[in-house]
Amino acid sequence: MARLTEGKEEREYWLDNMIRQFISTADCDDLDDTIFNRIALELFTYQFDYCPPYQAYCRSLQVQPSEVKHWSQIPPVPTEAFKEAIIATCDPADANFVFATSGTSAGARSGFVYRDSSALELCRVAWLRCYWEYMAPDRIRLPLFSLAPTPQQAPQASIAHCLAAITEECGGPESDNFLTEEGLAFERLMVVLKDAEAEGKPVEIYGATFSFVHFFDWCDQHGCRFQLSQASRIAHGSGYKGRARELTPAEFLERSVEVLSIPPEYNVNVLGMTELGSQFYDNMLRNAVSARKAPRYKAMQPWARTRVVDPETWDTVPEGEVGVLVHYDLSLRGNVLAVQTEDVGVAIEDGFEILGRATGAEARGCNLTVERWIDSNLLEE
Amino acid sequence: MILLKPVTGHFVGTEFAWAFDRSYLRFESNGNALPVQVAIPQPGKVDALVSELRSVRERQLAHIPISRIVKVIGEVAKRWLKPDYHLRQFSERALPFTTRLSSPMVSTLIDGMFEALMEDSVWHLLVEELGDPLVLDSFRPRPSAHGLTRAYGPEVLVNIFGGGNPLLAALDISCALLTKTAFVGRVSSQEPLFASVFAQSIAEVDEELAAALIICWWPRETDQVSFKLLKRADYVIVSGTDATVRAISSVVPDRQRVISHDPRIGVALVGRGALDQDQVADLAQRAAADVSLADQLTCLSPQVLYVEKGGEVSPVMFAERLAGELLRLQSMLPRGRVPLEAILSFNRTKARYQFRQYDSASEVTVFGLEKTAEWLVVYDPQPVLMPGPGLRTIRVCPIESLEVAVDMIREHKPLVSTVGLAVESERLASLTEQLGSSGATRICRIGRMLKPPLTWHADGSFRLSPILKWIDLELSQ
Repeated sequence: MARLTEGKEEREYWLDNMIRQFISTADCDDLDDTIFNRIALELFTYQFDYCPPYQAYCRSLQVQPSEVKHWSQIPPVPTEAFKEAIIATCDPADANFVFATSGTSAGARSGFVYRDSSALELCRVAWLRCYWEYMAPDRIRLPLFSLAPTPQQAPQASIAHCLAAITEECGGPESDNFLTEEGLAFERLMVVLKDAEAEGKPVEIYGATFSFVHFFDWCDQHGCRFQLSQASRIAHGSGYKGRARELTPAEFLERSVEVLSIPPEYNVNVLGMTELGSQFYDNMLRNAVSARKAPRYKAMQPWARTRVVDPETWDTVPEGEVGVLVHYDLSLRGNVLAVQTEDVGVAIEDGFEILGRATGAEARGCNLTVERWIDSNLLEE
Repeated sequence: MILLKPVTGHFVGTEFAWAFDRSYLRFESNGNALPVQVAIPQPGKVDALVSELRSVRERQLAHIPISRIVKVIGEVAKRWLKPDYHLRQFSERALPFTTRLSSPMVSTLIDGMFEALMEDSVWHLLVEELGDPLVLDSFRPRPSAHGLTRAYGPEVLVNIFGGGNPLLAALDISCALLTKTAFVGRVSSQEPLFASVFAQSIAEVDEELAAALIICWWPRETDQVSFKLLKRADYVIVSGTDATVRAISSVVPDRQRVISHDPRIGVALVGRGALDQDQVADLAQRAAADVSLADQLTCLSPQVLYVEKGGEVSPVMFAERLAGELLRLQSMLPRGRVPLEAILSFNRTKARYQFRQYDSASEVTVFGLEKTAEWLVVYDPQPVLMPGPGLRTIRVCPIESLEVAVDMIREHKPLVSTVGLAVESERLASLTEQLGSSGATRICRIGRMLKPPLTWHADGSFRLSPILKWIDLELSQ
């Protein structure tokens, strides 16, 4: 089935079409392996052919595309590789977008993720589909209030591009950004939230987990509390990185109720990584809207799967046991579809939960760009 | 998960039992869980405990002659060296749960430790440090001054054990006993077992000598117990991470009473003269032992191996030889249970160099990429001196001359403790001279890095003298 006789461009055109169609139309409740497996193997063969360091890596593991029959046999590329080699199927000179992988705390090096336009387009399709499915399953076009940088503010942060696309395609006309040159504009955010509260209009706020914690603390200091109208929601991700007082997930949910009156079902944690195209959302909002009962976990998607593995043997660990997350994401046509992270988590039903990055791993995350602004402002004061 | 029968991870005599609570720490390995019972001092009783320790020491320990103490330590060492000694067999079974070491590794390390604690070696230590060991029993003539002198150990010594090589507890406890001090050892939560097993072996030979010996645990370095105990101790010895050392030092009011062993690393240097075809196999074998022993958990273990260019065997060839020897040792001395964080750090390093080598300009070569390899050799032309992730990871860096490596060690003073050396004898004197001012405190043959003698000046100091007080009687008219 591999189209080895065709040229690179033909293969990309064919793959992109197939993947776009699958991501756009797949039923998110159906995690059947057949189509996923077929595309994954085709994509693996293409990436083996056009990403030389990945080919060398596969060869060192004695893995050949012809011998891989199931997607779980595809060698995942360690995130560390992005710091050392060009993990892309395009020539970096031809890449339209270059994203930096880690926010990098002291001394940690960044990696780079190169994407050509059509590869980024696939990521965009996945971003939007994931968002509609897990953040807006009720198809309400809410004002999106952002605590994260725009692509102009952080051109190398893939999350900025992702959030811009979501705001453009899924947000209401009152959507606004609250990260400015001076840091987070909490006062202005307070005003718009108070207005929304008074008008009984639902809103969505998204940003880094620690930005919310800063906002909650700010609200405490200013005696602010909000009764945001029903169907309001928040999306937060990428944790704390030691940049704010760390709350447990349960404490974060409690604080969101206390300060914003956002119920836990409308409080969604998102796992996103520059090295990935798709994002993994908590299933709670989607389940609440369709009146389904399930524990909170990150849902896998028909086109993006996660295995929890033992980092010594690379075998899948039994459900409920702690291991390392390995993602297989078809939207990564321009890089490598299988990515081995340093995130520790457990498998739960049709998804997984992340338990944090192993201590000792360098703190990282795209939202550190925000923190740098906050930091530098503190220095100027 | 199979729950095994709990084992005892404390040593508290019946006369002190009133001052302690009991709790359990749990260790898992290969689907089995081993609960280890620990003893935790009750905060309200710490003061009374210290007073009681002082009086037990005064009544018993202080009157035991040094010759009897040395004999006991020698006898204990002899027992441990016998393969059928019950406490040795117990340690070989239990330590793979509580440490990161496999059973064969525990066995090898027990041999190394107790060979160093033989009766003769203990006498050598005493003579080297004190001249006349009997100064610990009574006033003795001073050969070069008109008068007499006597050395007294502290009344109460608290030792906070580190989480590295667990067998070091035997060394610390033995040295404390030589000074006739009452001893409170706080075990690391990462390895609560060996110290109490060793204490038990002392008691088996001489119960009276172990009368003021306590091995216990408390949850945090900054705990209330720690605060009270450290305040009342005469001396505190602490090994561990920088954070632990800082936390302890901040609690003890008088800095003079704290002796700390900070984290350090080892470095190995191979001169071009040692790189001939006849010797290289033996040299690679010895270097592999240094990298493998104790799975690089100790501050003596080499992290970087500098190989001089221009020898008969090239640096990259040497790296390949070393890899072969590490593979061989892996089957004889397998690695033990590895915490998730440690394996992730190891995997990250492996991935970093593996992908770096795909850029041919980097000239990096990685050995040990097989899935089953429990070690990693990186031939890295960037000769940066830095610690690796452990788990038998060694960077082999080619270098123009060993003098350049010595300069790097000096730049990182005092990061490097031990330097393993393989050079032709004509160069030994000049290199030692240069290393002397580089911050390294121990220079030894490659293959001996993990086997310091008892007389080693750990971190550049004597073992006993720093905690002794001397009382002089002057007889001049």
